[in-house]
Amino acid sequence: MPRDAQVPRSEADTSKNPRQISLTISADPNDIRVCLTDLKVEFASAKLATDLVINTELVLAELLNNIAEHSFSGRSGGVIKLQIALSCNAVRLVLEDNGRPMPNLSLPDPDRPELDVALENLPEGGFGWFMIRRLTSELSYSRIGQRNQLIAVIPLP
Amino acid sequence: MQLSARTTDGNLVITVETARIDAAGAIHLKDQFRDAVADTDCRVIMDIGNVEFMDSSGLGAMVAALKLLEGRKLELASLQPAVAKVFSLTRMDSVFVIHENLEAAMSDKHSDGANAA
Repeated sequence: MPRDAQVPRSEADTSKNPRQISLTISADPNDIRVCLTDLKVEFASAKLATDLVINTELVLAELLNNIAEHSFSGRSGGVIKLQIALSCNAVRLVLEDNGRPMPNLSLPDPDRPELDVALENLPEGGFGWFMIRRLTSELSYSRIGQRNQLIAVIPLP
Repeated sequence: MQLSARTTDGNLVITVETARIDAAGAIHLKDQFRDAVADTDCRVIMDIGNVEFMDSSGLGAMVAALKLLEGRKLELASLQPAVAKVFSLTRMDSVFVIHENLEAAMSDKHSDGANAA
């Protein structure tokens, strides 16, 4: 899997070089919330377009919470490593965890949940992967040894 | 998750006091909503102007809240851009009644949730 070179941050001209953020997060909804709130400050200081920030926060929330819920379900102490490369026209995410592999070693690609149904049958779930797919231009999954690696690119809308 | 509720001009106005309706708080929203709408059959308007972010779990909780009204409408007011995005992407903006702000919701006499099928 090709990886982006770690571009050193230039103090003189940060607009041309992607800004890199690396962090480690507990696979827990409350810690994920804190992380996403902190990252918003980073996104603001990187002067990302508002729509790109909105889409990135949503994709990141869905990916992280999916890992917390499914990859580490029933087990505490899960850790997710996250790398983010910010540039003005896209955000690239690399997420790694040592939880369970994705079923069938592939990422879900569901249709938009059906809404033309009786009230009691309205879907209360199944929106996460649909929105992730809609908001990313690149999405890939690899099982590497005992780790899951997920790469997502969110383009400027 | 914190909700506050008041009755104004025969409308039950529920205000979401927190900035995020997300996986960490979704279950509390449904529980508190159930308490807020108990013993009332008036029109329900939810002011979500404080909410900066909602994820798929939060959207699921909103659908669960709608079902608790058993056929009455759930009207939403003051959606911030990140929240509006989730409603439009999933087309859930066709399931809820969405108002630009609370004032617009209150003055929209055509939305009579109590009589909705």
